[in-house]
Parts: sequence; C-alpha cells; structure tokens
Amino acid sequence: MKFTPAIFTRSKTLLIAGLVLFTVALLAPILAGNRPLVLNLNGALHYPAIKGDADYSMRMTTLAQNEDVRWMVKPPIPFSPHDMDLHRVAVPPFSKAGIPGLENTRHWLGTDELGRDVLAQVIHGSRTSLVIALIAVALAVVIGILLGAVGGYWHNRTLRIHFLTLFIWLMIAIVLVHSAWVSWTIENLAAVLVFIPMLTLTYLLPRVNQRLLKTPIKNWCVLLNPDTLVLWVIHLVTALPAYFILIALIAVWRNVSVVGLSVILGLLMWPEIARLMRASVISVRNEAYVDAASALGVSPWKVVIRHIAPNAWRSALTTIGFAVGAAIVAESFLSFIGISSANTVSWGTLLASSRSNPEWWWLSVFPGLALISAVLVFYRLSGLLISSPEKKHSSPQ
Amino acid sequence: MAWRTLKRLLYWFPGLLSVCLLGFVLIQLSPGDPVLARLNLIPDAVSTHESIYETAAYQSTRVELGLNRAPFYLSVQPITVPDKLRSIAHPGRRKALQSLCIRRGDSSTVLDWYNAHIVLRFRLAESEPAMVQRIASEILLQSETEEILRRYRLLTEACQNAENAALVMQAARIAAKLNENQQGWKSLIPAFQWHGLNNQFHRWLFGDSGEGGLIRGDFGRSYRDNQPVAPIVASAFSQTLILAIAAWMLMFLVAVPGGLRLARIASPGKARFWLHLLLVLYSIPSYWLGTLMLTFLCSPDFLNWFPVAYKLMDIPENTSWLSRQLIIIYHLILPVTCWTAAGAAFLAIQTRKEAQAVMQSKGYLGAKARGLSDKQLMTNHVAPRALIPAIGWLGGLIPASLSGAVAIELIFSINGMGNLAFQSFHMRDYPVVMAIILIAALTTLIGTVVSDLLLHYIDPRTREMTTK
Repeated sequence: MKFTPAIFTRSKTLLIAGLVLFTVALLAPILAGNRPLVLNLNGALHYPAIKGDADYSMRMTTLAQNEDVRWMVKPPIPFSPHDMDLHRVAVPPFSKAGIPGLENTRHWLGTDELGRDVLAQVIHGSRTSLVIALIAVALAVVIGILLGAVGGYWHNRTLRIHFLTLFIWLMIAIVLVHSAWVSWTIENLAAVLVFIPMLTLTYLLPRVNQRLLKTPIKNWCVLLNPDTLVLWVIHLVTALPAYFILIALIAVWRNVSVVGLSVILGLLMWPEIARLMRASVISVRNEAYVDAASALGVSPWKVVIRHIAPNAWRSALTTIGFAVGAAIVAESFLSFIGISSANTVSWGTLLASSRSNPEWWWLSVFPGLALISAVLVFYRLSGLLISSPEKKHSSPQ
Repeated sequence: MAWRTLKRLLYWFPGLLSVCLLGFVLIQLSPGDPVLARLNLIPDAVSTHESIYETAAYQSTRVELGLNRAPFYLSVQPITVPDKLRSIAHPGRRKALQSLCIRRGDSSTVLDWYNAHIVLRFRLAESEPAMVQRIASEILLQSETEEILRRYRLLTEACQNAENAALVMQAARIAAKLNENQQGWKSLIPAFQWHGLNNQFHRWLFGDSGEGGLIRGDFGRSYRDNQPVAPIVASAFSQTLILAIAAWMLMFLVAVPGGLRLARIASPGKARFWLHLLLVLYSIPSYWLGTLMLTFLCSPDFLNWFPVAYKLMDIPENTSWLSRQLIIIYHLILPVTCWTAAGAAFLAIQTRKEAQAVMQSKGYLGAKARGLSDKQLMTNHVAPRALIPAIGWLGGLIPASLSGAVAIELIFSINGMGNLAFQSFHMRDYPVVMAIILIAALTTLIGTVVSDLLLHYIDPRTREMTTK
C-alpha cells in the first residue's frame, strides 16, 4: 500500500479535489437540509439535522413561527433537495428564496421546475453518484480480479478433472440454483437447508478428484481450460454495447433501486479489470517464487491466492479510476434519459429537466460542472496510477 | 491471412449464438406479458380487467407467438410441476397453479382440482349472479390452500342453487385433499426434460414448418405496428451509420494530426496545459455537451444558429444534390461534434503517447542522424506507429458508435439505432430487441476483425506473431 500516498503527494490538486468531493458527499445532509443543525428550544439543545426525517415540527419553516426558539444554527444551504416552492419555479441563480422563515437566503444556483433548490440537489446528487459508482466498481474489482487470476494462471495450461467430478460439479450447481429458485418462488427459506450438504460436498470434491485420477479409470478425465472459459465470458459480456444492456435491463425492470443499479453496472464493468488482471498474472506466474511454491506442493488455488494475486492486482487496479468515472457517467446518463427510480436525487435528473426547457441554462450548467469535476478527479487518479512513480522521468505526464 | 480471418469468424460463431441465447434469456426473465404488448395493451391498465386473459384474441395470439411451447430444448423444473401448465393462457392462474404444485408436491390432485373448478365455473356462469362468478374466478388466483378453502365456504353460502352448492362442495373436497397429503419436499428434486425441436428458441432460430426464422433472414414482425422488423432496423441502422461515418472521419482527421503535433511541443508547460485541456474534454459526457449546445446554440434565448431536431424528411423535393448535401452537413454538425469531442480527446492523448515513445527510440534517432527532414520523420517513422492505438480502438468504435449514440440520438431526436433500441426496450417490442441485439453483436465481431486486419498491415510485429 506504499504507493497510494505517493500518488496524492504528486498532485496536490487531485488530493484537494478528491477530499472536497468525498466531504461534500459524506456531509450532504449537514451542508444542505431543511432542518437546523443546532437548535435552542427554551434552553434545551436539539440537533434535528442529524436525527430522522419524520419530525415536521423541527423543520425550519415551522420553527420560524415558533416563539420558543432562542437561537438556531442553519445549514449553509437551508433547503432540502425535495423541498418544493411553487412560488419560485425555475428562478435564475442568486434569486431570493420564498419559503417562509428563509426570506433572507438566496437560491445560489437557482431552482428547478418545481422550485427545488439546485445547489441542494447538486450536493445530494454527489452522494447518489459516488455510492452507485463505488459499489459498482467494488463488485467489478472482485469479479474481475478473481476471474482474471483464474484465466491468467491457467493460460496455456489445462486443468485435469475426472469426468465423474465434473458431472458432480454440474449436478451440484443445478441443484443449488434449482433449490434457490424453488425457495424463492414459494417464499419459504427452508429449502435453503439443501445448501449445507451440497457445500460440504463441494469442499470435498477436489480430494475426490485427486483420488479418482489415481484409480484405474483415470483415463476418463476431461481437460478443461479455464482461460478459454474466462475469455469466452469476457467476449460474451463485451459483445453487446454496455449502454444497450443497461437500457434494456432498466427499461424492463422499472424502478431499479440504488443497489440494483450498482450491481448491474458492476456486472457490466468487470471485463476490463479481468483482462488487465489476466495479463499481469500471466507476466507474474513465471517468476521463480511461483515455481518454488508449486514445487513445494502448494495447491494451485493457494498459489494463485497467496503468491500470484498479491503481486498482480496492483497493475490491474490502475483502471479503477476510469471505471469509477465511467460508472458516474453511466448513472447520470440513465437518470438523464429518465429510467431510474424517481425519488433519488441525481445530477442526471437535473440535466433531464433542462433538456425539456433549454432556456433554464442553470439546470444544465451547474450539475454538469459537478459531474465532470467528479469524473475528472477519478480519471486523473487513474492517469497518475498508470504512469507509476518509477517511470516518472520518462514523460511529463 | 484469409484463413486466419475465417478462423476468427468461425471462432465467433458460437459466441454469436450465445449472445442470441443471452438476449433470449433476458427476454424470458423480464416481467411483462409479450402477448399484451402484441395486442398493443398497456399491462398496468389491463391488470384490473382479468377478462382480457379469457378472450379468444389473447389465447390465439399466445399460440401465434409460440408461448405455449417450451422455451428451450432442455429444461430443469421441479419434478412436481407438470408440463401441462404451459397450455394455460391466464398468467396469474398459471403462476398460482405452479406455486400450488411446488408447495403441495401433488400435481395430479392439483390438476384434478383445476379441471373440477373449470367445470364448476361453466355451471356457475349459466345460473348464478356475477358476484358468485367473481369469487369463483378469484379462487384460481390463490396459491394457498387455506385461502382457497375459505373462498369455497364463501361460495357455498353465496350460491342460490342447491345443485350448484353441491358441485362447489365437491370441488372443495378435492382442494381439501391437497391439505392432507403434503409432499412439498418433492419439489426440491429437479427433473430434466427434453422438449425436442418444438420450442420457442428453435422456432425463433429456424422458423416454423419451413417458414420464417432467423436462418431465412426473417426477424419476425414488430409488435407495435405489425411491420416486418428487418426494414425498421435497416432504416435506423442507416441513420446511425451516416452519423458514425461523419464522426469517425472527424475524429481521425482532427485527433491523429493533433496528437502528432502535440508530441512535438517542446516546452513542458505548454504540453501539460494541452494535456490537461484534453483530459477535461475527455471527461465531458457527450450528452451534457449536447444539452449545453441545445441550450446555447439552438434556442431563441441565446444564439439560434442550429436546428434543434435532425429531420431530413423536411428537405423539399426540388433541391439540387449539392444543396441537399449541405443541408445534411448543416444538420450533422452539432450531433457529430458533441459525439466526437470526448473520443477525439482520448485518441489525441493516446497518439501523443505513442508518438513520444517512437521519438525516444533509437530508430528515430538513427533516422534523424541520417538527415531526414522533420516532415519525412513524421510521415515515415512516427505516424505509422502512432496510428496503432487509433486502429486498435477502431474495432471497439464501431459497436460503441451504436450505443454511444443513444444519448446523442435522444437529444437531437435522430431516428437511429439508439433511439430505436430505447423505444423498443420500453415498449417490450421483443422481435425488434432481438434484431438489435444480434446486429450489435455482429458489428462487434466485424469491428474486431477489421481492426485486426488493419493492424496486420500496419504493425509488422503482429504479423510475426501469427506465423508462429
């Protein structure tokens, strides 16, 4: 983990921009919300911004009429992204607010077609974007590194599996999927109990396989090439343009949740990481220490996990910045074309409302600037990771 | 070389088939009823009118679409779910019966009960009021035996005719049997079934009794307007192709020379400025650029320079060839620019990187020492190698142009592939969806093969690798 701080010291701008982005996303409810941060109500202190959403009496609009309030600390932007003000529909930046109790504040970036504050939406939108992008990329990294390691290790090698073992593997897979499906349909999780003996069997199978390969029927073995399989899956996923799959899945399953969307994005993004991981595993696996481990009788899986992967994953991870950026763009694109769940605040939703009303330029300019600055932070991070410190003097970038 | 290309294509053939299969599975899994889509009915509005599922139109359309067949050659189902369920047209009843079979593990009793109930419903339809009939049809949507028995008790009380009440009791007795012998555990046993060639996938691929099918170039008919799919997709494809070709030309004419020029900038400050500018340009999503252009260049509030929508149909018939081309170009400027910007920036960065690598090599130094001019050095030594990332990228560019154009096509309302895909996914127009998926996969294949061939001619290193 030595290189991570080095990356940040090499670019101060990146460090600051990244910190700002993450702080805004983390502190979104404190930076922009319709409840005061600290409130003195007849001498008792309250912290309504941190507590739940349900208590209407703690909103600033109601508190303005409350005579017991001695003093309160408002958030810097005293609007929540969902607060509508139908008297201030689509007002340009710097207009005065019309919500009672907040007449002295301004909508710094204007409001949208329902009178919601744009700045509050931009701040809360950063949260949605980052959460979706980070979950998606985490999933993509896990799948990509696993499959890439498998493909790379068995590149030009074959896995000897006895016919019977392969058959049992297939059966176990079918039974597991089948019983999961059955328990899902009848909404009765008792069927999941089948998993226990099956997983035990899965654990024992490699030993069974070794035994079987020593028996007289050892000629019945199947030579599998995991690398070909991995490449085939990568081809299959990349054969269709990602945006097609995204639109297809989300147009069909309407109202996808935030987690659902990030899982779909993650499932579409892993091939790039798997490809890099595979290439870097292929270059690492001929090192002497890998041969040494194999010669000592360490099992292939252990060699991959303990000896190869730790030395290979770093170069595969240089693209995660690009992946996060791409995920942010994809998420806002989906809400831009109007196929994401209606209640989430997103930069894309604002851009979409500017599309139907081009004269409200503030709806397109500010969320777009937020979007590209977030994307730029991650792209630059990737750029710095790719030109690693060792190659510093080779080119100016 | 020809052999290699052929091998490549052959290698891709199973891939293409599996892409078809993937699309087919996605369609099978997606919620929504294709029969209703075919009948042009909105699913949400229909769900309140259960009667639609009993009309002859629904049932005949279902058979016409082949939905009463097995989905694939092979299927794995719980051993308790009988094959006959597939012939029941009403989706809610089918689902309830399936669930009942899985829970109770006794498919023959379930089917007996279903048949008895259907007979009962005919009787009730003749002599009982609408309320009773409604209860009787609701019973078929229940998947809990307790709930079914409760409704039967209601029904017995509501029946006005004693003879009918006796029939209701009889059906209820069969339903009660389900409660007695529970064999739900049986459902955990998977049963493999071979359905032969009479299945939906085979029908889509090879057609029915020597007619239609993908193999004869027949994609079927669109659900929306009952037009053949092929011309719809072809016209959309041609629209996208015009856009894509214009974009590629712009990209290669601007980005590659630009990248080469950048590589020759000596001052590091200047180079850094240009690189950062390109990185910013690269991170601008095309649809944001498109929205900005619509706001600032196409609206009367700011500059009203360009047309908002891309409508080539509006060109008058009597315009000359040249002015027609000019109008097309005028309409293409905005969409092509905002689609190309990010890609061109990326390509320029890559080209610059590659060109600099060449300029640090000994070969370049030697050529320079031989006294070649700057122009010769650039065209003969740097440019061919700097083109390599551009060409490697071209392969991915063709399919990307299909999907990357989704945003641009939506913003500038161009009726291309992206727009068609978006609409047909939204309307559940599955024949069009499958055709689009297939074409997308095919263009990926063609793209990779074309870029391979080009690389083979430009980069000698790949040639050596292939002869090994």
